[in-house]
Amino acid sequence: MSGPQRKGFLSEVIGAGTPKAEEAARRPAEPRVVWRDLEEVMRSEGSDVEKALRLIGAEDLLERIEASRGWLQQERDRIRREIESLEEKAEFLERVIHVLDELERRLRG
Amino acid sequence: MITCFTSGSKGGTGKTTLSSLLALGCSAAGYRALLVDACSEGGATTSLLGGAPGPYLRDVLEGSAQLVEAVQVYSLPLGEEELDFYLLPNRGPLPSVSLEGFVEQLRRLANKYFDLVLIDMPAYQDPWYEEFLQRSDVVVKVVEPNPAAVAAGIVAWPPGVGDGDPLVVYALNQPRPYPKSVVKEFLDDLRRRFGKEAVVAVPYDYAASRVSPEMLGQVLSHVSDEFQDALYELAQRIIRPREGAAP
Repeated sequence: MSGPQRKGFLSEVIGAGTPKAEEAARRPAEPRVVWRDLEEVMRSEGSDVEKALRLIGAEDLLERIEASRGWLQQERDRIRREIESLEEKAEFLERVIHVLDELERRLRG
Repeated sequence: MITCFTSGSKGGTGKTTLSSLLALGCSAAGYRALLVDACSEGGATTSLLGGAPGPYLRDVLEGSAQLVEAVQVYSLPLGEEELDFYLLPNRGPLPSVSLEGFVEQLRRLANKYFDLVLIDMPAYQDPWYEEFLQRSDVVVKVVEPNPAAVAAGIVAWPPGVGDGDPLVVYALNQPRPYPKSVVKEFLDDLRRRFGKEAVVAVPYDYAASRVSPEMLGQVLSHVSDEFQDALYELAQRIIRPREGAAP
């Protein structure tokens, strides 16, 4: 029996550390369902969705939808938090501008 | 989840063998475990691989290499399957720098890619090494059933079982065969002092005592059920208290 074989560094093997890889790691894989197949199977096999998904080899589709939804919700929340943070910064800058306006007005008499 | 394997100042208690086999066992069970070799002589690196190309932990601590570029992935053929394992190798003495930044990076990496990180510590005299323990979630004190090893384990930081932060687990290990009555005596003593939950007894195992790169596959195939049960129990003590789930 042979000993361990080196596959490479973590960054090479699973792409750890690069922003693109981290983004990809967070994002669920794309569903790979052909809707026409699903429709055909459901026409011939009845309206049992889970069975139809199994027959076209996409039994994990519902889980994937759930995972995609979860990921999109996380992204939505992250973007909303970023927007809130930017708005707070903009408000702060607005107040500073007002202070400078007032200071200038007083200096000019 | 960062776990340190230590024996305090007493060497030869089986830290490297135990942490290496636990990392491989966790990988076989579907967990992604990173083994960090913190020994200056590169104990885990040598026993699992015979040696590994750099960069090493030493380079990461010196700031001349990035952590993510130093973690290496190896594949071990096991029958028709392959077992991937992850190692941050080392060779040479570690610089006495603050470990705060390193542990923070390690934790970030672990949160993204690993279920647990096992740090194999050397038997040490230098108090600097205690920072590894202080920044861990779990400290596994690997002791042999003899008075010197048990005493060294008990006085290692945190003394006894500390206040639970980090969590302390005693692994009463037999890197060589001991009489059953002696093992029982030390096991009872440790359990009386620190509680049943804090102590795991690891039996002597001929295959486990033969860990080497060439024999690794055979070792994993031949370790006894009792030894595997002990590894499983140790993994449970490390993972369960924090996550509430069995490995």
